[in-house]
Order: sequence, then C-alpha cells, then structure tokens
Amino acid sequence: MLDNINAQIKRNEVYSKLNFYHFQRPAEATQLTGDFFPIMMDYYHELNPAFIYNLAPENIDMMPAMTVRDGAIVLGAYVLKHFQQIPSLQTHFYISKSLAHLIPGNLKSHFSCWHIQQKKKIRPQEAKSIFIHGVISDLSVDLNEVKNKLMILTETHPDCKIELFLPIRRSLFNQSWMDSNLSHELIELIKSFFPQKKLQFLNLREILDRTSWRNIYTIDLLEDSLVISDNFLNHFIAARGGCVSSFSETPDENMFFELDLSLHHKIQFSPLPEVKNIFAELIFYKKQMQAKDPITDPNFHLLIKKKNFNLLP
Amino acid sequence: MQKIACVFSFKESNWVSCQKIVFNLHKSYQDCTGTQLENFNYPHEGNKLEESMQLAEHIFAYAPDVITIMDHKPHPYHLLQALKNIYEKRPKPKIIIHLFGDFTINYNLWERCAPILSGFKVEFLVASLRQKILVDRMFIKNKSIVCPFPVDPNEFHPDDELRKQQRLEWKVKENDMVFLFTGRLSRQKRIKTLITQFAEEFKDEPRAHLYLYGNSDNIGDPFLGIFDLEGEYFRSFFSVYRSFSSELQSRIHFMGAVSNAELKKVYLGADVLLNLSVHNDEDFGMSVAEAQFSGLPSILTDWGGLAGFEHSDIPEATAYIPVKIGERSKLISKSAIRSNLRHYFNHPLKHLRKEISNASNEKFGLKPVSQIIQKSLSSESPNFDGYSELFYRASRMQRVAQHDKMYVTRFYKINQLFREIYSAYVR
Repeated sequence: MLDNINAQIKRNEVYSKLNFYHFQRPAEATQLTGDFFPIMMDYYHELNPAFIYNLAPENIDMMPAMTVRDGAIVLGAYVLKHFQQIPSLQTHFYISKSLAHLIPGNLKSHFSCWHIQQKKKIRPQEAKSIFIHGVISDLSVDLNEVKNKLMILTETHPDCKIELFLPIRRSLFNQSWMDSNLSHELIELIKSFFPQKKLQFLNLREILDRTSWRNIYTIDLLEDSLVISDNFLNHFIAARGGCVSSFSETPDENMFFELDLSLHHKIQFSPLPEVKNIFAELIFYKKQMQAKDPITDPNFHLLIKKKNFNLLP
Repeated sequence: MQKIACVFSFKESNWVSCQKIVFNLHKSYQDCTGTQLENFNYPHEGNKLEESMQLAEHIFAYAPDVITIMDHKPHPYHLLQALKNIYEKRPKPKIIIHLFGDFTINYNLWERCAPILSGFKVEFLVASLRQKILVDRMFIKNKSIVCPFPVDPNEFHPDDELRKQQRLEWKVKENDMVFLFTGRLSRQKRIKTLITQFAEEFKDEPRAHLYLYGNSDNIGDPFLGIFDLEGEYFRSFFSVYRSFSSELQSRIHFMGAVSNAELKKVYLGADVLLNLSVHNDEDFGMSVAEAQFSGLPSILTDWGGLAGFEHSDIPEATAYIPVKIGERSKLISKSAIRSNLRHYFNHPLKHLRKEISNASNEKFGLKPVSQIIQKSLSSESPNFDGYSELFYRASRMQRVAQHDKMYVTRFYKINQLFREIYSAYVR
C-alpha cells in the first residue's frame, strides 16, 4: 500500500487539477455534480481526492492512488459494475471506513481506508455558534437520524447563534420528484431544539467569505456517507479553525500513513477493517434488477442504506 | 457645525483587518472638531437598489454636508446611484470615499459610477503613498489623498509585563529571537519562501524561532492565472516544513488564527515582524502597523502599502526586501531576506521598542489620521473628472477575462497592463 502512496506522491498529479476530470466526465455525472454543489467542490492533497462518478472508464486507472470521495450509493454501484475489472486496474483506492462493507473479500487488496482526524475539538457547549449544513432531499436526510445527531445540542451557550445552510435538492440521483414536506419538517425539528433562538440562514457566499470558523461547532447532516463520504464544506471549515462533528478527535489506530490537510486536521490511511461485506446481496440485487441503473434505483438506495436485502420490495 | 453622514456596515466584515480599519477610522472621525456625525448602516449582504434607495433617503433627510463611505463592502455603486437621483437638482454634499485594496478588483463597478460621480465634489482617500500612485493613474485629474488606516495607541503599545507573559507561554528564553508573521497563510504572502529562507538561515541556530499566526486560504494568484484548490497551497508549504529536521520543525510554530485580543500579546512577545506579501490588494498592512505600535522592527517586502512603514528618525526599524515584477511572477530577493533575518538576529532592537512605537503613532495613530480627515473635510474638493485611458483598458480587460488571467498572456507571462498598473507598487 505504501508503494502506491509513494508512486502517487512521486507522480505529483491529481485528477482534480486535470482538464478531462471536469470536461470529459460521463454524461450522468453532470447532473450529479449540479445536485451535489457545493459539497462536491474540489479540494487538494497529494493522494488524489476525487469522485469515481466523475471519471470516464478510460481515465479511471491513470493514477496509482485515489482518495474516493463518493458515498455508498455510487461506490456500491461502481463495485457492482466493475468488480471483474478492478483487479486489472493499477489504481489503489482509499475509501471511507464507513464504506468498507461494500468491498468483496477478493478485492480487498485494492482498497484501503481513510480517516479524518481533527486534533482539537470543542464541545457544543463551548461554541459561540452552531452551524448545521447538508444538501436536503428525501434520500439524503432521515429525520430520525437528524434528531439523534442534534441530541448533543441540548446544552448550548445562551448566546450561541444557530446558523444553517440547507439547500434543497429536488431529486438526488434522479429520484422521481414528488411533493415533499421534508424541508419544513427538518426546520421544525431544528427549531424544537432551540425554541428561543432565531435561526440564521447563510448563503454559500457568506460561508466561503468567512475567514475564521474558530469556536463554531459544525454538524454535517450527510455524515452517514450515503450520498457523499468526503464533503468539501467540512474541509473548508476545519481548515479555518471550525470544529466538524463528523471528524474524529482520535487518530486511526491502524494508520500507516498520514497527511496534514490544514493546521487543524489531517487524513490518515489504514488497511481495510474486517467487516462483514454485503457484496452477495449486491450481486443478488443485480441479478434481480438487471435492466436498472443502480445509481438511480430507489431499491438499490434502500439496500445500501439498510444493508439488508430483505427490506426490498 | 459640519454634518457628516458616516456610511458603513454595522455588521463586521469577514476580513479581520477590515473590521478594525472601519472601527478605527470612525474613531478618527469622532476626533475631528466642529463636526456632528450620524451613522448609516449599509449592510454587506444588502446591496440591492431598493435598500440603497431607502438608505439614500435617510441620508438626505439628515441633510449632511459630507457623506463619507468608510467600508470596503458592499461596493457603493447602488447607493451612489440612489443619491444621484435624490440630489439631482439640489445642492449636493461632498462625498469622501475611502478606497481599499479591492479597488483593483472592482474596475467594472467603478466604471459604472463615473456618470454618477460627475455631478459631485469627490475626495478619494487611500491608505498609502504607493496606492495613491496606483489610484491616481486611474483618474484624469483627480488626485487621491493619503489617509492611513489608523491604529489606536491605547490598544497596541509596548508592555514589558505582557511581553514576559507571552514568552513564558511560548516557552522561549529571554535571549531567544522570535520572528513573527501574522495574517493569512496565502500564496501571495509568500509563506513557503518565508519558512524556507528562515530554515536555511537558522537551521543550526537553536535560539531562532518563527511563529506564524493565521489560517491557510485558497486565494492563489488569480490575476496571474494561478488558481489554488482548497488545501493546495497549504500542502505546498507544509510538505516543505515537514521535510525539515524535527529540531527545526520544533522552532517553526504554526499557531492558527487567534482573536485580536490575543494578537496584542503576540506582537509584544515577538522580536521582529516578517511580512513578505506581494498581494495585489496590499494597499496598507494593518498587521505591520499594529506590530510597529507594539514596538517591533519589521522585515517587509518593498511592495504596495508595505513600503510606507519606514520611519526617517529610526531607519533601522524597517528593512525592505526588493521586489521585481518578473516575467511570470512577482519576484522577491531571497538573499535579502536571509541577510535581514541574520542582521536582526545579531542586532535585535529591543531597546528601541518605545521609539518605534512612538514613531508609528505619529504616522498612523488616531490623531494624525484625524488631522488628515479634518483637512479633507474642510478643503474645497474638486468635481469628479472621470477615469483615465489606463482605467478603461483595465476595466475592459476585467470584463473580458472575468478577473481570471487578466494580467497574463496566452503563455502565462505577465502582460503590459499589469506592469503599467502595478509598477506603482514597486520602487
């Protein structure tokens, strides 16, 4: 694994700095890119953070190593589609530890994990501001999970401000559009935690213009890695001193290599953990639903989300 | 009694230095005699025509003799347009505009202001002599006035006790030398050059420390076609830092951003300020001013507003690094950086802290700035006469290039337009 890392660093080139990554991507990636803005915005380190969905098949194994930023849906669909080709690729993939269950046993040597450590974190009670962000759709946000996440906010400083960035996306992964009250319910839920406080909605310009995020506690509503596993906003905020709930305060115990991403956070690389994989279920799904593109199939989303094939209709 | 309408955003800017600038400028206005101030909120985010109309009406109702626009954001175009409509056939107040470094990234908006301003008497106040040279090139006849961004001497001044506390916190000894940088860890601030030159000069000098306060950014150098991804410039300088010996790394301290209150102590604890900025917006250098008020000598690039921090009575308080506009980049002399680092290491100016502070106060304190403003308030200002041919070329280029690469050729060489404008920023 270190060989791939060294080869990648020596190569001194990453997908996100190359023209084809932006201008020759597969047609379906264009839609996804729009839906995921700004959480999919590019950031940089030598181990090539990029989205698999953004790469045409002929470009996928150009680099010795790649830090995969996609979420479970895209990675699951990719593994399902290319599990026979992956052994012939020269690329070693680093994925979020939370996606390890998608990798079949015979492909394990082609995958390792990344983990983000934020050295100094504050507690929500110490924050002068709580910032909640996420791209909102019925697929990406589960109100019960949000409720659990917000439980840590029951004690906040009396002067603490509540800031939100919750752009609504009509149909992530081309789901069919239907009437949804999710965004209203989500705001109601957030309000119920802070009945006395005025919620402040930020726009992207206000976020990107803010040069210091010190003493701001950030909650990423998409941290379950279903739609994205590596969110640009979290890096942007952490690099400017903000505390990101989804980043770990402790280092990865099995780490064999690390890179500083800013003065405040680093990425660590470790072998794939031993977890039960759901590849058999994915294959079974593929046989059952042959004609369907898993990325846009709600059944596949459900399978990936619940990790249980029996839940499928 | 002269009635002054002070226009600024009541909400602080995201740019830390601009927060202090507006606050301190306002203090200097308060110190002017024979004036009555009224504040008008022009919020950063609310730059819509309807809101500007309302604000203009409020200003008109106050019947000011002078309207002063003190903030860098939002751009005053909409407000000026609204004021023009209201004052169309009425006696017009004088307008004072404090120009910030971002003047050069807003040519298009300033161009739209030309027909609006033509009916007013206008005074442009700039923060440094080099900025004045640049800005004056953009006007046909109008001449800007140098009005530095003031520092409050009650806030920044030498204090032996706080210095001791800070050095104790840093765990540095009395005879250790602390070099300091404060600001964004940005490509145009040449952080990589700063740490490599420090490392080269002091790799075997355990008494030399470098403290850097500030977070990294992704601004790059877009005027010259350099666009950084988030984290890219950080990796560029931090991987160099990680290649140093662990002993050397232990003497280069990246501290992140801290509050203004903490910075005060930091300036006091340090021995020399370092700022190698060649940023296209470098109209002044608030951190340098605050450091000098705290008594620090400085090593600065001879670029833009930084060039204004020399003091004729204490020339040794400021060392300048020559800057040249090269073929593809702004070039700074590395040998001059090292020789100046060594010079201050061998000849620290701890005994001159009070003198340096006093000299800065005479130049950039609230009082001298207040006197400049007073003079500007009472002087007979000229009508706005329009922009120069150079301005229109820059504005046209900005429109075509949308900021990106407006100053480089197809082969990424710095073009003639950049040289014509930014030669004002070099000696």
